[in-house]
Amino acid sequence: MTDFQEQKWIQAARKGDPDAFAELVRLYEKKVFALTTRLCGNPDDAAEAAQEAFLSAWQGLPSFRGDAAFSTWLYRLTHNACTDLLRREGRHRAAAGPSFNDEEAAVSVPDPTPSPQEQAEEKELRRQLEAGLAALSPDHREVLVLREIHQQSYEEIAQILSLDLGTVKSRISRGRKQLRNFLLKSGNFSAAPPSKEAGKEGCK
Amino acid sequence: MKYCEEYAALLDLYADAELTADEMQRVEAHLAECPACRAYVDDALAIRAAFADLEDVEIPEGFAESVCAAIRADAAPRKKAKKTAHWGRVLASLAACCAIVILLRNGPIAGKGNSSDAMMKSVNTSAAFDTAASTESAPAEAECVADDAMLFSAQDCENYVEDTTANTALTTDPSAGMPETAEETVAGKQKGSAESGSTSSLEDRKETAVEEPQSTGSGTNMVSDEFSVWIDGQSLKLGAQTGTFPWGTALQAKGSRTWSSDGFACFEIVCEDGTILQGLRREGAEDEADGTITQITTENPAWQTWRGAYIGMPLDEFLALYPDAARRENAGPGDHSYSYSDELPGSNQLVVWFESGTLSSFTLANGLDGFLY
Repeated sequence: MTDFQEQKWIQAARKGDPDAFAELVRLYEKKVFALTTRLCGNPDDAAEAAQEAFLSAWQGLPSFRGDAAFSTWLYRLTHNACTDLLRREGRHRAAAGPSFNDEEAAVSVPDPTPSPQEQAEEKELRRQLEAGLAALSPDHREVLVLREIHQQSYEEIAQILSLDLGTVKSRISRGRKQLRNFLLKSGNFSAAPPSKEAGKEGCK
Repeated sequence: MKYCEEYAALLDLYADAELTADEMQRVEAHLAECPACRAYVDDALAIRAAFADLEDVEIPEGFAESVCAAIRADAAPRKKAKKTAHWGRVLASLAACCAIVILLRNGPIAGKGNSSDAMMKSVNTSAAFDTAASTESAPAEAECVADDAMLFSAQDCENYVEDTTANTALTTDPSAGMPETAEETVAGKQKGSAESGSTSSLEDRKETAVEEPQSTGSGTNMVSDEFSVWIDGQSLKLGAQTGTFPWGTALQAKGSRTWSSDGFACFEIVCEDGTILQGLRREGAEDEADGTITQITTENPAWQTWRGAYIGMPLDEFLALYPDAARRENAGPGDHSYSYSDELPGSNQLVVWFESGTLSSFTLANGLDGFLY
């Protein structure tokens, strides 16, 4: 798939070609579900929000001028769809797991013992990563997902979430630090073991 | 082992390649001699690598087909995109205001918003409403007459209601707690001067703000307040509402209206101090607290300043300050209208309105789904 091909689909979909739009759905469904799954908390809501996002995209395409990235625009619609769905159902965004108040807050680490089916190291790390994400506040979780899974720049995340750049920087920094702490405390994340040269409180 | 506080914020920006070349070098030099910070960056990159697996989420079989089936069943009907000529009509209705519009836009994506029809309606009707509000003479019905029926129907006008809770203080979530951004910290620090009637410009505030990272220990400039508007020392910002309002202050609402447009429930709240908030939420989200603020307009001279511009500023003085402002062509007869490009964070835009030769109000809008021209 080339950017050129994607642009062709976008232009055709703008003009009302549902088949071209279907190609766009297939192209982006993974990314959209990656976001809705983490924001909505359960598969049914995730699917509903994803469908809402794509239907909004279909409706809004005639006004889409193609200046901003299609993906950024679509993620914004996805964010809106999730937010709306959770509010409509009387829940405040992704009520998955406890929230951190501070990066140093004590966290309850799930049993790190892998089940027999989860022996593979990668699988375990993924499980821990999902658990760590779920323990983040929804705001911090969302910016990290957009940054790491969707590879959005800070500027793009600011647009998607209607935040100023400073807030995006702050949330990514806090969220990542919380996630790192979670993974370190879980005992299954040792990508960068502490150096003996370093003092306990850092280098200063 | 903990990273250095001084580099706490820079390390993430480094890992995300969001620093300038000079800053990248500075961090690299530090990493070369600090194992604790190096460990943090290594962990951040390891986390990123692990994230690659997280894209693989289960997607219901036939999802794309079901979306297309819904489209073909016209479950999400489209409306025709409006032509720019409509803007001309709307702006013509502003002639009485003799408005000068300065659009300040930013960056590579500034103004490249992809507004839906709903969003455009939101903006257009806001412009008309702003006119009515500032002249204090045009009833809601008149706005509709002046406006394009496609943009704002008579039925929409009837939906305008005087808020029965007019004297209810609309306060925000007091659980603001620690400021999440340096900007918020600065806002708090500015409170004293604002309350004492100071009308210091945001340029002044910016200078203060630039020093802020030192006190936060972030070691980087995370301040982007120059586009913000201020009330009671608090920065009003565009974005999702997380309470009654998205900032930590109190306003008195004297009226509000809502209208439906292309799957969005648009809303507009008029406050006692001359602040007008406009935003939208997806249809079906009935909670007033829901939604996204896309536009903030204010006429309150106590806090409405921007880079040396202020309420009541004479036109010639403003143009002396911004000599390269370019006149806009489609603002309607009798208007003085100029556009001006400058850097604003994100895709936000600032619109400066003039009436009878003096600056009358500012509008801060989200360029992505707020004010487009």
